[in-house]
Amino acid sequence: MPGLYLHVPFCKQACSYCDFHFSTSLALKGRLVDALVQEISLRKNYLGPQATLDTIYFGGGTPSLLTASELGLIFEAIHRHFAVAPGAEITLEANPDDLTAPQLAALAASPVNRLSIGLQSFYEPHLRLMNRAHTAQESATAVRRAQDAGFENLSIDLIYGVPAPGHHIWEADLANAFALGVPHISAYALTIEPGTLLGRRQGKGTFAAPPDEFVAVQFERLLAQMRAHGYGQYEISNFCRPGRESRHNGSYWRGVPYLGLGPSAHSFDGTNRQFTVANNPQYVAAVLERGEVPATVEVLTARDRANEYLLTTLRTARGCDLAHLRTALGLDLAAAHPAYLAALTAQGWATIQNEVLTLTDAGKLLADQITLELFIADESQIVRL
Amino acid sequence: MRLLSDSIADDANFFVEEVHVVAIVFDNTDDVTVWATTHFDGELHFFHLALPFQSLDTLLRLATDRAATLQEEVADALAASEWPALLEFNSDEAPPVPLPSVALKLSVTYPADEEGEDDPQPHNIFYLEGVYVRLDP
Repeated sequence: MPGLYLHVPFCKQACSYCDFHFSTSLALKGRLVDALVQEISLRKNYLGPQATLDTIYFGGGTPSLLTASELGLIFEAIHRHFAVAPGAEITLEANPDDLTAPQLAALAASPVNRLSIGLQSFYEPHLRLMNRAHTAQESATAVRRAQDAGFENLSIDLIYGVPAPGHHIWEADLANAFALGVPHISAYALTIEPGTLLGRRQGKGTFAAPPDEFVAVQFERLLAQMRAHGYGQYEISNFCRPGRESRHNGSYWRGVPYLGLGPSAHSFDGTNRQFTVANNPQYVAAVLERGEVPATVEVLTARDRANEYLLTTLRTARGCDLAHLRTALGLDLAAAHPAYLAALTAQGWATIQNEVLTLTDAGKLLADQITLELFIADESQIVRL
Repeated sequence: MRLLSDSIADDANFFVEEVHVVAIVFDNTDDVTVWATTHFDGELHFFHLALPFQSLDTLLRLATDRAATLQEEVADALAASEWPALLEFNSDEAPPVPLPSVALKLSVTYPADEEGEDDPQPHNIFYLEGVYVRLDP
């Protein structure tokens, strides 16, 4: 069943590593909520008539900045135009400093049944380096408060590869995370993107990212600690207790259609992708004043679809189904890259069993490079089905 | 100013108060080292304090109005491309950092001699055993 994504492009302050689309001015928030409500109506048939939603995901930005009444307006519109499956997974990304007792009470009274909390670290200097709005103290207390408010289905985000003389801060972050007893943890390596605060600092020479070897050690410790604490790695950056995978993310990786609402949101109808303009005023004006969604449609070629399948599945524990790639998407990977596939398995970076290509722990460290090597550049390598 | 190791009576754990941090050293070891002063038996003493990063975080948060600035300075020092790095607070622009209403429980360390036996002369490096905040009655 398809999913719905709503982008809430507002933040109290800019995290130093973030290159997502957001604004730190909340002046347009009310109008943007109105536009989201209107866009739900405008695009109600994108997933087919009367589509039943299995997942709803509020991402950002910072969706926890939405008030109870704003959330209520959005849910009212969703239920007016879509069927929502019983037991649908409804996730809202939240920042710890927003999760006050009144806000949690409002969220608990709403249809939201899963929170994804952006803790990132329990170490205050690292939170300051990342310019997060919350404190280390709030990292722990927000989760406890959410649990007390009745949210058991919780995910927390952590970031590793942050500069430090050793690995003790990261190990303490992991220990603190495990102590919270949440069923799902996402852990991302700090990446320095151009245009972010850290990217600009790096350009000026006032910030240096740690070397790859340092990040690799932290990734290895992450895998070992997650296993030791009973969390399975179902995607390179995502870990969970048995049966607690994020259904929404799983749908992305399986190529299930989804509708993305709000500025900069992506949509996928099973064939083509659509990108809404990443500009809040332009988005609000187009939707509210002209009744249209300013978006660009990307027509996916057969090559694009095959490469996308490689990109998403190689990051998952399920791996890349070479038979599906060949029969459904027209790419015979074994024929396209025989030498490279042999080298991958010989080096211990991947296994191929029952025609499923899966990265090993060592291979996951090189996932991006391996995927790039396996990408096909030439449309002629696709067999027309 | 005297060395704290010269003034302690025995090797039992003990408390110091009126602590001022004068430097933080990130030296690529398991711990971070703080250089600090304290008034002990009515005299100013200097000592080194070895502590884990999480305890440094606790100390920084207790630096009241300088806490946020210090946390950013520490983050920047951690992000320095080369260690060891030394953050010094011993000038007019960056004066020593007071830790008001805080008592630190310290334990004594001894440098090992060449045979690996403990030298009976205590080191001026102390381990942090605990951080205590004085409560207003």
